[in-house]
Amino acid sequence: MTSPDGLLTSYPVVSGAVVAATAAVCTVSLAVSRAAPAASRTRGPIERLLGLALVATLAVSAATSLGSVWTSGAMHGWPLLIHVAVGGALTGVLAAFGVLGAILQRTTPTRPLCRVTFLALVVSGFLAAASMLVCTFPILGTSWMERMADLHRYAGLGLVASAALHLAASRNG
Amino acid sequence: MSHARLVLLAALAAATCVAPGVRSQENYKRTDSGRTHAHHLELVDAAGRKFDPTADGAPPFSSYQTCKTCHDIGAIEHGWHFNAAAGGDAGRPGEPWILTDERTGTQVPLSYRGWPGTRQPSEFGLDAVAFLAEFGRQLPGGSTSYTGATRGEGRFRVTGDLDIDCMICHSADRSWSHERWAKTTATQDFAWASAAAMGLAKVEGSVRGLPDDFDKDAEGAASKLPKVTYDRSRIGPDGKVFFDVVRRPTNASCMTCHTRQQVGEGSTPRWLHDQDVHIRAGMDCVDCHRNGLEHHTVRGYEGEQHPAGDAVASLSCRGCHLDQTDGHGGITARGGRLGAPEPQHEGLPPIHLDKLSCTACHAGTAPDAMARAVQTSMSHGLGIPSQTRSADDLPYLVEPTLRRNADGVIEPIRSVWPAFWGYRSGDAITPIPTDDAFKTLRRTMRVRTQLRPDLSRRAPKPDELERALAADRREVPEAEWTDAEREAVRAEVLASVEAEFREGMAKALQAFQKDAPDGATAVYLSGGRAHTLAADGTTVESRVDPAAAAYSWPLGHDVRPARQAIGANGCTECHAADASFVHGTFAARGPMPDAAPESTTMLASMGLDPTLVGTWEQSFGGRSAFKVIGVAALAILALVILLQVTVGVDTLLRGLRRGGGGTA
Repeated sequence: MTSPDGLLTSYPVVSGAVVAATAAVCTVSLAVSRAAPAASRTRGPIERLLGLALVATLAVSAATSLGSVWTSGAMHGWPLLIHVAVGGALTGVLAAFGVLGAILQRTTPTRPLCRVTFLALVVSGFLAAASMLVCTFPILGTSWMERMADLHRYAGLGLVASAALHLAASRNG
Repeated sequence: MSHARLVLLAALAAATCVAPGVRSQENYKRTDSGRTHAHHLELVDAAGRKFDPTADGAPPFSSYQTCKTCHDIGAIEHGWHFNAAAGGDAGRPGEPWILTDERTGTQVPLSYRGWPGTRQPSEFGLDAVAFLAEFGRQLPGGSTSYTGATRGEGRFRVTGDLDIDCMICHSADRSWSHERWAKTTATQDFAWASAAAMGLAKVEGSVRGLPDDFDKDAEGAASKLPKVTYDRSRIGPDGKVFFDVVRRPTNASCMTCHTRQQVGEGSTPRWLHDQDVHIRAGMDCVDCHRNGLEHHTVRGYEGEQHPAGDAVASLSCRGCHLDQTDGHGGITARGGRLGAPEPQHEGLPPIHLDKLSCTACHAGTAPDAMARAVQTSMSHGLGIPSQTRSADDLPYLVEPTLRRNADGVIEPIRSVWPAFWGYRSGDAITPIPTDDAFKTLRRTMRVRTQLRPDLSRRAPKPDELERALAADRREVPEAEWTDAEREAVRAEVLASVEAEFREGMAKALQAFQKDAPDGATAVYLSGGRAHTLAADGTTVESRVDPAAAAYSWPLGHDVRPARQAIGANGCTECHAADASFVHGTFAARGPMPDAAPESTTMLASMGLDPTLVGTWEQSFGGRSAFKVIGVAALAILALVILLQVTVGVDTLLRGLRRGGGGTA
């Protein structure tokens, strides 16, 4: 079994495109929301704190991974160490954010777009975390671990995109 | 002219163009069979003449010329084992020849290949004949192609050429004698070496004492040359001799020059030492280190460029055990040759396979707190019987140490620190030939056979015992000392011996300085340092010097099985504060006694960031808790996803039902 190397080699380009597209969509969304502000619900301190933690851990994880990939083609050294540590924290934050989000969606009216971006956020987060956590156990061989790393890369990219879109969608009510 | 004739003429012209190549191949006999040909051969002398070995005054047979009758030796002698002087791509730096001289405390890596860190034999006054006499013991011949000497010129007119002896590698039985080969090459009886080593003839006498201008053809000269008496029982009724030849050299043949053993304190006894896992699995050295007729033996490292342009990637560790890909998912060479299993490396993040060579975890002596001393055939003449060989013999080789190679990959290496006397001029150090150096050392340091003091014969003096042992322990017999006491005494003795040595060395350096070329400074390199006279002119100052830096070469064997590999027992085998792989040390070792040798950690040798490594190690302390929390978080996320999907599907179904009710 071999690693689908093509996924790895195309990652810098794909990730660049996804990040650019996400930024564009979010920018347009924010511009629209400023032009026609919608009545947004009040967020509690826990929700704010978790949102902040999510953004912070995700930003550090994305910066260490995408920064390394775009500059040197691979992660190693300090960026890798920071990515692993902050990635662990991100998993915990994501779980709490997921529980809170699920409760809020049951108790307060939520737009369908927010529901979709929220689901994308937790699914991609689950895949990103699970694909690496499974590699910490002596279960998978090199080939499967390489596939898991590919899955992690793309799920992580999905997590960044879905988190950005979810925050933008949430801001719009 | 008809069209058919034109075609015929063109074909003839084309055939004429390729004819030389075709003819050259047809000159040599081939069986093209899987069965080894029975080699009943007429003996041929060095001049290429067939002769009757039963006749009086029969010459020594030449393996080179005898085999040349049917084999393209001209092509063979360009092979890896014979082509050191050929120039071109010398490949990855490998094991050098190490000039060793106990009288002068010399251990210098030499090579004709120009590997960085090695020196040319001529720098130490070794011409081709002297080189072959020194190292012919472990050289399969090739005086011209290996040393660049001209065939039959100079002293070779007396000694004969040390031609390639095919039987060193291709002998099927155990009759080829390494000991006889070593003895005859050491006495410069090159032309007689094959006959003696094969046991085909008794060789009496030597050319060693004959002058360079000795005329072999002069009247009475033959009586001064070695006398060759062939074993008639080995000569057939047709005058031919049976050569028990194998196409594929046996492992034992390779071990003639490629044996390695641990020596010294803590070394594994030979009988407890496992061989390379591949050999134990029934493989032969030549299964991987293979070659064609041209004898470009595959060395087996990653990135090796075969001189013949053949694809040899799948004969490296990685190439054989893993598929080679083109970076886009395409397989360029399939692994699994000879049944090589695909390594699973369960739980080992793949980044390790990018950062480490296979050998880093699988080959050589497993890293210990301190790198160990080893001896090799090429360096210590293993294979030649000796009653005096000891673990303390020069040269001092140390393994395993780890370094980051030019590709940024960490690999295990074996190292030797050059030691010799010379003159420094700027950054360059010109060696003093050992015989010249010895004359001065004999006079100034009273050296007779060995420069380095023999610590095993040095009893501790009362003042040393006084410094090393507590007052109530000084009268205690040595056998009752504790390990700490023994070490303390050893350290005191070593410090005293070093101080005495430095006094003598100052006198020697003063004497060398008198003969120094203008602007040059006398220097002795040893243990990674350059030792020169201090400004006062009477003491010695020592400093780390690039010229004294270790020459190191990657090691590939013995390969340990997966369960014996570093890291097989978990991450903390390397990622821990007490892991030898990272925190083991190795000390520069030279002939000069050194109470505080230059010591380096593997960490520094690998060029790793100690803070980063330390932080990683600390992170492994909480790895179990990290996993538990991670699994719990994932379980929560899974429940959230399940809930969201359930709610979403429920909402969708309700919407569909509502929509369906509307249209009904």
